[in-house]
Formats: sequence, structure tokens, C-alpha cells
Amino acid sequence: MGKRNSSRNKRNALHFVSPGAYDTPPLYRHMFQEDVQLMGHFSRSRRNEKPSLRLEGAEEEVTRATSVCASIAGDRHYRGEENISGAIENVVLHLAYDGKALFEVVDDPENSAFSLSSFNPDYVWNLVFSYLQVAPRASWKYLDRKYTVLAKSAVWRVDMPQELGGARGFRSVLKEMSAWSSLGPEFYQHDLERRQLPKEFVFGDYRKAHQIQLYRATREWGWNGRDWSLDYITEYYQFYRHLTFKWAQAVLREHIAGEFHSLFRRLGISAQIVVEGLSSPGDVLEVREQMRAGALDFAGATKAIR
Amino acid sequence: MRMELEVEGTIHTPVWYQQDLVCKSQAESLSESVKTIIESGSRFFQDWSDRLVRANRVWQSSAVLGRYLEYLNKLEQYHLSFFKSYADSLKATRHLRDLPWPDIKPELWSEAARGFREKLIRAMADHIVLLSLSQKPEGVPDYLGQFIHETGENLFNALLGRRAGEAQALIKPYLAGTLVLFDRMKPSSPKPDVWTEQKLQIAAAPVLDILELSGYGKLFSELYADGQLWAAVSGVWDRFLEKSPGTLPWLAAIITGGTPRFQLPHRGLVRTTWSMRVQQELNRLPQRNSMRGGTSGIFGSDVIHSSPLARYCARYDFHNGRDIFAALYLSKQPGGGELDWGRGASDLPESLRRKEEAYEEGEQNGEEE
Repeated sequence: MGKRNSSRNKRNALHFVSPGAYDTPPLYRHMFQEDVQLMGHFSRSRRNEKPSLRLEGAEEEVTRATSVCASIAGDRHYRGEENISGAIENVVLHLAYDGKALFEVVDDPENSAFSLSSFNPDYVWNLVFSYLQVAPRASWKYLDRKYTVLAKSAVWRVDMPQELGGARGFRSVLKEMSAWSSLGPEFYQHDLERRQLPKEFVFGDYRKAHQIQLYRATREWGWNGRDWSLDYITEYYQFYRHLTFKWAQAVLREHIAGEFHSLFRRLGISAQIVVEGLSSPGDVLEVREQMRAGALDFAGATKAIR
Repeated sequence: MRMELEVEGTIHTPVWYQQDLVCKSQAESLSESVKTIIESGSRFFQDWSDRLVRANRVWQSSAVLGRYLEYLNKLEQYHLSFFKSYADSLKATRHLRDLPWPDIKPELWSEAARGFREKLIRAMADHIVLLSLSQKPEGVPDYLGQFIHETGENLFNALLGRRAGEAQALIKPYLAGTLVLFDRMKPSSPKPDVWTEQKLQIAAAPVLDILELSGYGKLFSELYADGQLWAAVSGVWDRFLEKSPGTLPWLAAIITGGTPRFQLPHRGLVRTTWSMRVQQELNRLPQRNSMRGGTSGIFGSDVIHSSPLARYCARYDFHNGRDIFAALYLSKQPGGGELDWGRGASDLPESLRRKEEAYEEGEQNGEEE
């Protein structure tokens, strides 16, 4: 059995809905978050294909690790691989919306197991040895406490990898994507609502500027805004961004696997996640470099990445 | 790439890819431009000439055809090869095989230009008759002479290239044109002095051209075993001599007295060039070793061909078309047997007979290729 001193045996975090959580998000920000979220689906195996993820270690350790993963995997699965896949997807889901994911580690002494419970990363302050969570005023009437203090040893925190800007950088990307409306500036939308078409305003120019801003904001991610047209860019640059997006996916994949390994070590679980058959970030960069040198064409570059 | 620069602060698209895009664009432009130059340029001249003919302005129309000929000559001799090498250089810079490029086929450019040239050749031949019927305005170049000369060259190429249909279309106006020229330039004075003789030789030159070409028509017909070539030539002569039987003595006089004895004849260089090209064609015939007079005889070689005329011309470098035409056609016309067609023509039938006998002897001796 592993150590137990790094956890609690009951849930302490507050669970509430952030104000404005149900508001309709800006279109491109929402699409970007969806696409980042889909990055976590890499582990899903297709029919007749070997799963790309598995847990390695002694049988008992693998069972414990599977139990941890199953606690956040949504539906509990019979196969360990599906539990770890579900857990990774859950982590990526939180990262896609907040840039960081916070989970309370709960000890279940009766079953000699740990479980994870996610909580809202908003309204959480990072103190030296603990996290201070203060619920927003609107949710006080639904809660028994207005705030709580969580020991850092009882929290598993996963941030966006630094290569992709970290949590702060990601939230900055989301903020930039919310700054411009894809439908045009407000006065333009108001004119349209009044069924007037402003003659001086060139929507094509606005759209181009919007796309530049979108591409600039997601430069490190290589996101293409779900736009495969070549209106303003070369086909090469389009593939360059496509490969950059694949690189971001590989970085995220390795980062989350590494975070799980850290968690398992903290919990005294001697198991690790093994990823097979998928391109590493270095592999993707190598393919991108070969494409730049002209050694690989676009089809070859696409095939070379998994 | 401005957007790429604004987004990234640098341009990731490599130079070779940019070159590919530029070259692709240039290739598209080249393909379209050359097509326009060949097709639109040619149609422009054709339509212009046709409109002038309909307005009875045949000399102006001839001027347009003259420029059209120059246009096509420059295009085929210089520009198409430049365009082709330019297209090849663009293709050589291509890196991306999956980038759709225009399907540039320089051989189709040449084919299209040849098609327009064929139409021009016929238009010039048709103009010979139109110009013959019209008085040349003062100061206008001699388009009639130019078109007769061009048509002669084109007729030779048609015969050499085994294009019987084209030869048939050209020889009729060509014959009419040469006779008109002869009629205009022949001496009017019956006084037999040196000036009269020179005038006759100048006037005879175009007639000698068509006699030469008609003889080559017979030779090529046998060389290629293509009866249509000879039918195209002889049919026009048959109809002409049927209508103008009195021309036969004139033709005999032109053959025997139309060339000066101790100097280069008029248009002799043109006919010599034809003769050399005929010889080049005959030199391609296969040969075999031969022996005459039994085992102690003389070793030599024979040209292998079913036609005695082709064998004879190939063996003895005999390629005087007008002698062939006089010996094998004109002398056999009604009244032609009594006329003097010159020594070359009179000796030819006997030479062919001897050649035939020697060839048969060689075949019996089992000669080798």
C-alpha cells in the first residue's frame, strides 16, 4: 500500500457555478475550446486497432491507478485503458475551458483507494501551503460555507503546458478571441438589425483583420479556425499550422501523461501510462522541418503524423 | 503572405515554395498567352484578309497575308522554341508534384501553328488567281510573284511530305500563275537577238519550276508507291492540255532553250535546293552488293526499290524533275512524241530499261543486302 498522508477522506471543496457560465460564448472561442477538448480524444482506439494507451505496472498497482482514473472518467469502464482515456479527456476538458484543472484528492480508507473530484478553478487563490476558495456572492444561498481552505497536498492541479503558454497564456488566448465578434463590430450589427447596410464599412476587410487577429492569438497552437480555404494564406502555411496544431496536441498529450505520473507517485502508486504508436512533439517538428526543406510533400507530411 | 507576416512576424513559407507558386502562375500565363498568340493572332489575320477579299481589295488582302506569313514564320522558327524552353525551365523548378499545374504541351503549339499555316498556304494559292485577274496598283510590292514562289515551295513540301490533297489544291493555281507570269514576261519582239533570248529565259523560269515539281511528283509517287500523288499532278495537266493543246510546243521550247548554257539559270538556286532535298530522300533507300558478268565480274551496289525510276535516280544522282516529266508524261501526250524535249529526257527511257535489266540480273544472282 502506498502513502496516505497526502490526502483527505472527505470532500472539502465548494462546488458552484460561476456567474455567466451559461452565457453564449463567442463563436470562435467556443470552436477553439471544442477543438482543444477534442485533442484529448487521441487515446480512443478505432475498430481492430491496438489501443494507443495502456497502464504498466504490477497488477495491484494498475488496479489502483485505474481506480483513480475511473473516478473522473465519467462512466466507469471495465477496461483500464478506457478509464485512463476517460480521465485524460476529463482533464483536457477542464484545461480547454480554464487553462487549468483542479481536482481534490479524496482518500477512501475502507477500499484502500483514492478518488478525484474536480472543482471550479475560478475564485481560487493560490497561497503558500494551501488554496483559498471563496464562492461568488450569487451562490452563497446554495452553499453551507462561503469559503474554504484546501491543503495543497489534497489538491491535484494540472496547468496548460508552458510550451503552449501555460494557464495564464491560455486564458489570454481565450480573452483575445472574445475581443472581436466574427459578425462585425457592434454598430455594424445594430445597422443590420435595423435592416440598413452601412456603405462605408467593408466587411471583407474586417473579416481579413479578424482572421489575422485569430491566427495571431492562436499562433502557438497553430489552430486554423476550422477554415481550410486559401483566401489569405499559402497552402504551405496552412499545412505549417496544421502540423503546429498536431505538435500542440502531442505536447498536451505528453504533459498530461507526465502529470498523471506525478499524481501516481504522490499517491504511492507504482504504475505509469504508456503511449504507443503516436508521434512525439519532436517527431512532429522533424516532419515539419522535412516539409520546410521540401523533402516531404503535404500528403507525405500528413501521413507521417499519428 | 502579407497575412503570414502579420501573424507570425516572419514568413514561414520557404523560398522554393514561393518559386513554385510564381512559376505555376507564370506557366498558366504562358499557356494562355501562347494559345492567344497562335490562335487569336492567326484568326485576326485570316478574318482581316477574308473581309478585304469580300470587298474586292485583293492587293490589300495580299499585303495582310504577307504579314501573316511573316508572323507565322517568326512564330514557328524563333518564338515557339523560346516558349518551349521557357516552359521547360518553369517545369524544372517545380518541387510540388501535387500542386496542379497547367498541362503545357509545346508539341500542340507547333501542331496548331501548322494547322494555321496550311490554311494560309491555301489562301496564298487562291490569291494567285485573284491577283492574276487584277491590275497591280502603282508602288505595291509584287505579291503575285511572292505567292507563286511560296506556293512552289509549299507544293514541293507537300509532295515530299506525301500530302496528295494539299498538292492537288496547290498545283492548279500554281500552274495558272506560272503561265500568267510567262505570258506577261515573254518577249514581245520576234527579233532573235541576245536580249530576246534573255527575256525568254527570265519568263521561262517559273514554268521550269512547275515542270520540275511535276517531275518530282512522278518520282515521289513511285518512290512512296503512292498513286494519289501522281494523280494530283497529272490530273491538272491532263485537263490543262486538253483545253490548251497548243501549249505543248511552248513547253518543249522552254525545256530546251529556257536555260542559259554557260551561266546560272534564273531561279536555278531554288531548283538546286529542291534537287538536293530529293537526293537526301533517295539516299535513305537501302542498298545491296551486286556483281556483274559472272564470277569474274565487277562488284558494285544496287539500290533496293521496286520502281526503276526511283532506283535510277538514287543510283546516278539523277534528279532533274523536268526531264522526268518531259520523258514520262509530256512526250507521251498527243503530238508530244515529235517534239524535242532535250537529251536528258530522250535518254531517260532507255536508261530506265537498262537499269531494269541489270536489277533483274542482280536478283537472279542472289545478291545480298
